[in-house]
Amino acid sequence: MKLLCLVCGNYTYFETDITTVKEITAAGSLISIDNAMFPDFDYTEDTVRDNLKDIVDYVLKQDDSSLVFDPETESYYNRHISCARCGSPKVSKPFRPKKRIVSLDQELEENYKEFEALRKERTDHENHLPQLWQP
Amino acid sequence: MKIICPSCGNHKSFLIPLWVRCTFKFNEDGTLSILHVRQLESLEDKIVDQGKTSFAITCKECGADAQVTLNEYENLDTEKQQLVALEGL
Repeated sequence: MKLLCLVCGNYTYFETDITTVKEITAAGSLISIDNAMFPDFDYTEDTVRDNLKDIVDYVLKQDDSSLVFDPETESYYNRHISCARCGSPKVSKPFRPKKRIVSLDQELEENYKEFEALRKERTDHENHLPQLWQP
Repeated sequence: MKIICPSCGNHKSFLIPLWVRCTFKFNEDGTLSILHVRQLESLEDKIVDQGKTSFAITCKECGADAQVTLNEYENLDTEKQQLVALEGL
């Protein structure tokens, strides 16, 4: 579960507004509008997929900044993504308590032996650098 | 109506940006699937509004803003009217 609608509990279907690009082809006085095709790819399809992925990744990464407080309803709503089932913009990342809370010092101490082994395996390139100047 | 690129003279292919509403779902493996794409803007309005907004029609070849002439015979009509008026005088 990545996103959750706070109104209906939907966590699968969502909607968002994105930009895409179409191609206008003019032949004489006739104008037709199709997908923008380049020799090796469909630009329209690519922009739809890329922009959708970008906005979803942004919302998942910046959950707090994508939420806006509405003083009238006194609740937060998502300004990018809405629920496709009930249409509500009250969509946010579900709250997940952290599974493991270990301090950084403790984690470093736990992994110290592994790090020491890694240091021994490491090749010291800095000792084999070419000598540019010698007194 | 005539669309032309003032930079390179291209009069065939142009790109027009559009806002669309995309309905999608999260799959079990975390990937996205697109269910529906609905156009939010009128293409006619966008073509008529060319030059008034920055979200404009651009040339496919060089990327410059295109120039849209809605009635290319407008100037010809004006010239004819002026000619008739002169003859009348």
